[in-house]
Amino acid sequence: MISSVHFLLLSALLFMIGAAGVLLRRNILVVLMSIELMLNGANLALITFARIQANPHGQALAFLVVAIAAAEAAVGLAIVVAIFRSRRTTNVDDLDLMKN
Amino acid sequence: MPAKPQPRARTIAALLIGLFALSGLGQTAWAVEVDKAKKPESKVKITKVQPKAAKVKIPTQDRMVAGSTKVQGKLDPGTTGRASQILFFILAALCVCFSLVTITRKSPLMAAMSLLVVFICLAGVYLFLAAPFMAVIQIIVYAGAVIVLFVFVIMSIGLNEERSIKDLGTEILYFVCAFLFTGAGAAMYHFGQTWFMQYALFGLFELMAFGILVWYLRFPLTRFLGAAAVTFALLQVVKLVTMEPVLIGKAGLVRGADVHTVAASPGAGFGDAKVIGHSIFGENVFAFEALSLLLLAAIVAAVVVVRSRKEQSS
Repeated sequence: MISSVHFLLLSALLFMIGAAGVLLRRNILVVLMSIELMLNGANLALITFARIQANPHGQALAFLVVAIAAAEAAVGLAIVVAIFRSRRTTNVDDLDLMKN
Repeated sequence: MPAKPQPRARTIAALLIGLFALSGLGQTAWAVEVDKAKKPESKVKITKVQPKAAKVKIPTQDRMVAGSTKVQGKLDPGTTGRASQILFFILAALCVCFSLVTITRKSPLMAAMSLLVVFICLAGVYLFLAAPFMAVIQIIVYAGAVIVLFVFVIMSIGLNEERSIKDLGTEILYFVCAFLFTGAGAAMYHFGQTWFMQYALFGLFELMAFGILVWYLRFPLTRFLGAAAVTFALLQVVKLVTMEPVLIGKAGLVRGADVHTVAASPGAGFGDAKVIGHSIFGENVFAFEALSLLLLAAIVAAVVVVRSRKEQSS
């Protein structure tokens, strides 16, 4: 029988994979994609709890999260394009302007 | 390895046929499940006093709709049947596998494409949670807008990857093998009769699956140690999944029950656009307005950031 545990496990797995991507990958585009994965994991947890409680506010919150994720992707990708224009790289290790 | 076009095309064709067969099988099984649920069953007794009269009076379909909270274990057949459980596990496994592909690919384009698969499968998962509106939003916003934005940026800044996608077919083949091994191991764990079948074969299959994953997908871990660790983690996950589910319902922690019997009954139109609209424009209207400001700021910020230097100075 599928229970809410399964959905929450799936959401936790997605979140962990996204976090691993953020930590391990050096390509800034893939890092942004991993952040999207993490947001999706959080969204799945929100919708699962909305279903458990039979409360539509959880889904409304997930909807707002989707909008925020879209805005984040737009700004993040704009920053990527700007960085690539000035420094010709998408590697996050090369971006050490504030280090010295 | 010299990759010939012929075997790769054959691999992809076989993969597509397999996927079609799988989805057809799932749909057929789901239809059978629904069919079974519609038929009156001898196990489900509505009243003990007048079984015949009750059966004549209440048509089975009405019983499914109206009395769905009373007849335990016979709630909506779309979410509690065995076939739909299999569908859920297929979707969940695809989600996890393709999110792993997302973070392991060298090429950002491949990552974006597998992220698309994750989003679409996740939309399917949302349907299991009585959230059709969120499923549609997921497809439109994520699979539509966000992925297109990613691909657009990847294309505009150029694909300067060192490895081409020439051995993509072989990698997909290995991935499918790993997927099948994982499924076979889980099936052994669930349906195995003897100790050997249940545990030894399970462990063997999972070990093989993760060996394949770690070796051929070049997951950046110390390989054998990583394989052992991941297999152990998967064992723990399967143990968690197969143990008595613990739910956090309205009554607090509930053991040994499932979401569809313990959870509060969601009502008829739960999760469609009307209910969510009432929530957003009613109680959460402040959040909505704040969000509109945020979106405006994001648009302005994106335009300002990508504006070229020449335009900025003039």
